[in-house]
Amino acid sequence: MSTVVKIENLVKRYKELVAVDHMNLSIGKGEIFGLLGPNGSGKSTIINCLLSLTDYDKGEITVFGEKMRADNYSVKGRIGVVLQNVAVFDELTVYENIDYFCSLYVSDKEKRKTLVQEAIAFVGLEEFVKFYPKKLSGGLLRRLNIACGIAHKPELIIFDEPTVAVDPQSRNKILEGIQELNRQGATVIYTSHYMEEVEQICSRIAIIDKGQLVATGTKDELKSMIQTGETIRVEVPELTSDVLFGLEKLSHVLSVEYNDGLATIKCNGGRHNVLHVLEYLNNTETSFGRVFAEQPTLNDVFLEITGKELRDEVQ
Amino acid sequence: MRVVLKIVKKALPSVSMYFIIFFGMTIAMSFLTGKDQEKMYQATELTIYVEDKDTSVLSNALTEYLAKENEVETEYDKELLSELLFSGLVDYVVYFEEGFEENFLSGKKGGIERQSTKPNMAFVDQKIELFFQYVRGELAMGKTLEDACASVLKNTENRAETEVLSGRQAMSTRPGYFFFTFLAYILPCILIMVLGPVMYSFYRKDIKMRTDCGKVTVRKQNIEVVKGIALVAVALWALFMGLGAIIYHRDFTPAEYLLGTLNSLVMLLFSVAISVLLGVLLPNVEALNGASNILGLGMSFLCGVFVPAYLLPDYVNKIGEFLPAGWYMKNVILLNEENAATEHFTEFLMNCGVVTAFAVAVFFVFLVVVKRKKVA
Repeated sequence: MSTVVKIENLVKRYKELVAVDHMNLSIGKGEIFGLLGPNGSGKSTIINCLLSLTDYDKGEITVFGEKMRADNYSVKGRIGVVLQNVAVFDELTVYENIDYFCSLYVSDKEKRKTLVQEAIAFVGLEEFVKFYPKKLSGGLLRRLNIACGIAHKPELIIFDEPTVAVDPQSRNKILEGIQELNRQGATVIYTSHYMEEVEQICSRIAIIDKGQLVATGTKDELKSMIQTGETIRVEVPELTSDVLFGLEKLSHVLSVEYNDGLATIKCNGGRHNVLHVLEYLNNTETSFGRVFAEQPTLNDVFLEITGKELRDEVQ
Repeated sequence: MRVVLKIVKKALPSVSMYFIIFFGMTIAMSFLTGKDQEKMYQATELTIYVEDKDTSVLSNALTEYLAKENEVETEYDKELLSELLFSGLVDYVVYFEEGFEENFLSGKKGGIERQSTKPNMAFVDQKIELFFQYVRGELAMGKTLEDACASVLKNTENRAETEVLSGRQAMSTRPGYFFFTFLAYILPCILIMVLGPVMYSFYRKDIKMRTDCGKVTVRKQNIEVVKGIALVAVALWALFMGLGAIIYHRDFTPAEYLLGTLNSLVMLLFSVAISVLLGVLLPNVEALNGASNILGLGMSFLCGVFVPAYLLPDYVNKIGEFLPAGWYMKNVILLNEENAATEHFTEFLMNCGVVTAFAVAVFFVFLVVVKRKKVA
């Protein structure tokens, strides 16, 4: 797999604040690469450096094998950008907006006409082509924002938190669209602080905190980096200390907590953990109610590596 | 450039309104100043009907006193009087009954009746009372009634004189003066409303980020915006100057109109510079519309656009010197006098230079703001 983006030793400071701290990333062709981190972790700064929208203090960024600079227009022409805020002209209609932003990449009017129509169809704005942005709902505006960024059919598309303040229905449509673009051959960089979204669509994920790369890999690789594997929760009306001790002694069990009739058993890998726990409870004649089993989430990964909840820092 | 024109199109309804107001005001003022101004000012005279049954020295003197500043009639048909009062043809009626003078001399009230249908005639009552006070004063000094009345009539002969100024110190009689004068208000106003939103849209942080990501060079993008702005500014200016030339070409010699055009061109430069600066500085289009009014009206009042500079206090004129419209207006005043602009050509050019310097300074600030925005 050839490398599309390579970030080496990137450092960006805002006076005393180190926004990006010696960042190293490599993104391969055809990936949906997720940048996951809480607000203010440095995701957008990395994107701005990558797009040469801001200067950086140290490091090197290579895109499509060429050093990325503000005046490297041949590389810029191969990149599509969907920024966090809806960036469209209020004075232009949906069609005119997409056409204008597409014209920044494609000068041929006939070719552009086809591309604009395809982009409109892709985001499902066919009925709104003559509408002005102020007449569109939040979800439709986001779709317009995406269409403006992808109309020229870029090879690399950067989505910077495209689902902020979007209703669930539109969010799903956006995520499906991103996956479709990836299937059509585009490499995608997707930044978000919604771990569910990143987990849902990204083939590889980089977890970022305070400008530093905390971990990178596929979601399974990330989850395997932490001790916590499966978490089993069992409703147990009464649990004796002997049974509690026995549960802790089971193989692959990391810890057992018992609070308000709910036993939380954390396992580190292993197979059939639920079966083993229930078997033990039966053998000790301990009655139990409902049973829940959860695989580790990226929040668990973030928690174990940084010592804080990812959710704590998001809306 | 297409996008620039699209944005400008949105502002056209407001611009049209300003355009109509501008030419309406200019033509109205030109029309008014085209007349002999002295005929426009006329002292207000009341029509007073006097019926004198006393025919005494005092009643005659009072009638004469009232006739000094009013039209006094004694020949009206008495039966028609009510109708004349009602229709406003007569403003005030005074009846001197027999014994009026006797009553006055013996200190009694009565013998005189007054009537009016208009609410603002109290000042005539006051004037009559004042006459009585004067006569009493004269009588108290030991004069006879005849002498007292003669003295009062003599002392009230002086009338306040009102003079309409003429010449350079006064309002121009050259109708085209107002065309060039009001340009100092309308040019910055309209251009801020038209070009401000263009700059605001293109330099909005999110839009700028997106356009900076494009394949088209920043230079080429800037050239397109500059071309659009230049086209719009020149088109609007040409429209004003063209219509101005059609309406007012007779008021100026070709050389004078050319100088006026040059003067308006430098004002246009300043207006464009301030428009693009405000466009990148202000947070939204509504703020731009507000700024357009504040700047346009503020500068106009301080620089003698609406009120001639010679009527303004010195400190206001001093403030005007720190504003480009003040220097623009100096040239308009020169244009107002026949041949003054051509005779004081160096002064005229210097004034144009000062306005241009203002434009350059504002444009420099604009560049600094854009640079700082990019760094941020």
